[in-house]
Amino acid sequence: MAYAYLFKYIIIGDTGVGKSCLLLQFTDKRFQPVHDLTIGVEFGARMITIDGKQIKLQIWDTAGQESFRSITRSYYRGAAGALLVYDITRRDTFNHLTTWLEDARQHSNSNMVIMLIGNKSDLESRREVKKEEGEAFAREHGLIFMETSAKTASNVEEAFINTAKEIYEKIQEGVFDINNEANGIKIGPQHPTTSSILTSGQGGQQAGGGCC
Amino acid sequence: MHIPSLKTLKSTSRASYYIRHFKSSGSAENKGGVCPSERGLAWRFVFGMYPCSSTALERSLLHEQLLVRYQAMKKKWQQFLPQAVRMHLNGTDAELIAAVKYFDQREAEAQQQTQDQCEEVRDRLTFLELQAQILFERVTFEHDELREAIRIIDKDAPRTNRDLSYYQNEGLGNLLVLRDILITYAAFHPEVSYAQGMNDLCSRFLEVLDSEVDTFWSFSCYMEKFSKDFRADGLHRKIELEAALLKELDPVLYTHLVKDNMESFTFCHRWLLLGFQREFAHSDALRLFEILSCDHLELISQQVDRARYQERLARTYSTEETSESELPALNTDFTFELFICAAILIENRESLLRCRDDVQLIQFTSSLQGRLDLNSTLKKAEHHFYNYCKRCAWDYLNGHCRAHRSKDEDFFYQLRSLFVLK
Repeated sequence: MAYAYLFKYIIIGDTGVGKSCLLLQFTDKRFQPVHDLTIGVEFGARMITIDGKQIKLQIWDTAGQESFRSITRSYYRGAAGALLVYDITRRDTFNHLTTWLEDARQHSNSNMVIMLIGNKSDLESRREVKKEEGEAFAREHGLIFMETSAKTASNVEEAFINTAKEIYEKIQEGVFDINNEANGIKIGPQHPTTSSILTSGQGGQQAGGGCC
Repeated sequence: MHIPSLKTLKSTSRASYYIRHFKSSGSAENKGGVCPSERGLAWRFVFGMYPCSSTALERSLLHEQLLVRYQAMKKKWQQFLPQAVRMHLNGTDAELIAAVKYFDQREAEAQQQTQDQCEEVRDRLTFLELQAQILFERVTFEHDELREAIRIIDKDAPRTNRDLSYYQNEGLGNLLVLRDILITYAAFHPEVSYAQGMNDLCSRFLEVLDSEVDTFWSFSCYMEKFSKDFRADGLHRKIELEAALLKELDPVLYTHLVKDNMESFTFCHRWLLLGFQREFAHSDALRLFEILSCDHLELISQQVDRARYQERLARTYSTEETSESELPALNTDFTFELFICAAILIENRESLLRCRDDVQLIQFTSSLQGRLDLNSTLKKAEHHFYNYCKRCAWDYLNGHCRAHRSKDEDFFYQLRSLFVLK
């Protein structure tokens, strides 16, 4: 499937916050209550449409384990967007955000768009982190923020797509050098020059396994 | 001039000597491993929970001691962190809630059994308990570190291979048994603590041994040797060694894989951490783990060590001709596990050569999940292993021959023996 751009994303955050479930909900539109432990890195891909352009999101889902962070770090390289996830029902996962953020900033390119995500918003009764706290953290560190639920799919599309919109804007502004693949952006094989594709919004389409 | 004969390389270590007394698994097609019904017994010896020289009487006494010690250890962290005795549940996982129920039932039954013990047994156990208490009296825990480990274990244990029949229905309670074992291990081994992947490993022991106490001790014995695999530097080293081995076996493929966009072999990470757990069918992954744990075809097994030692001795006594008593340049860090990994890479070399970046490499590794055949992989790995040994011997002989032109005869003698043995 032809695309105008390919954006590389990474998903990071503590173990068990729902990184793989967010990805699965976004690519397959389903929820798996017990997901296998991610060891190393796994993949997902989906096509979205922004401003009439087909954009392929290539999403790298990393393991949350501390001991192997030096290995997962190599995946930060060349990412255009990052979803930094915590679990609103576990304060410790929120407390660890600073370390994750430092790590991400240090090992990625400085223009990487980071979206802060408070996941498991369906578990309101067990909430330990207020929405305002997430917002404040995001404001303080210049991140976009959203609360999601991989279970009910609430805001999942928006999280991935808003990040892509932000990256797209940065491309328009000329912030990203799209010819340098280290920025996590690739121009598609057939760059559609006409605006013949007018399907705005989220023409969600699953594009698993295939080659990029 | 001596080289380690291939015969010694083929021979087995002490543990696998004992395992040979167990029925080997099934057909001639199967290369190695014991019959699954005897696996539990075999593993108690292979991993060192029971000394191979022990008698049945000694083992029953030893088992009592191990039981009491484990319980004392578990009690110790439970008293230190009473709020961690029960697993943290967020109520969203119905199966896990059932797991807790089954686990509690089992605990209650166990307690009842203890009360029903006869007086003699109870006296003996009381004495052992006292001994264990003294033994662990001085052990202290780091509060924050232990809590952090428990937090991760609570996240991971419920995600361990729940599809296995061992964890089905009432077996769900086993997830909590696994949790307790991992916490006890982490508490008493703060230098190792807990890392992801240990849950999978420990689960293998639990499934095969079906005993909390025996799993704890067998797992601990195993970790004495392999805990470094669960540290980033240890795993890095393993990945580097894999690259070095591939360079020896298939330089073209190696050169391709270390090109610009794929400078590391990180795509092998999961294979080497979990021992190909997700690549082979579950029963095959267990068998592979068993085969690797028997030091089958290891360049460091005891027999090889002994052979090398005798060669060194013989050389010292025989001629004392030169000081260049170098043995063939075998890299003994190349474990058989690395040969397995290399065999898989070489088997798929065409696909790998087509990969142009690390994205494609990782997609390729994911595509192999659950699709590999163990017997053919073992056969290929063995083939690469012997070829590697032969080549090292050849290189050594060649070098030696050039250095000692006059000893041609000797060279041909060695050469002949090399091929006769193969």
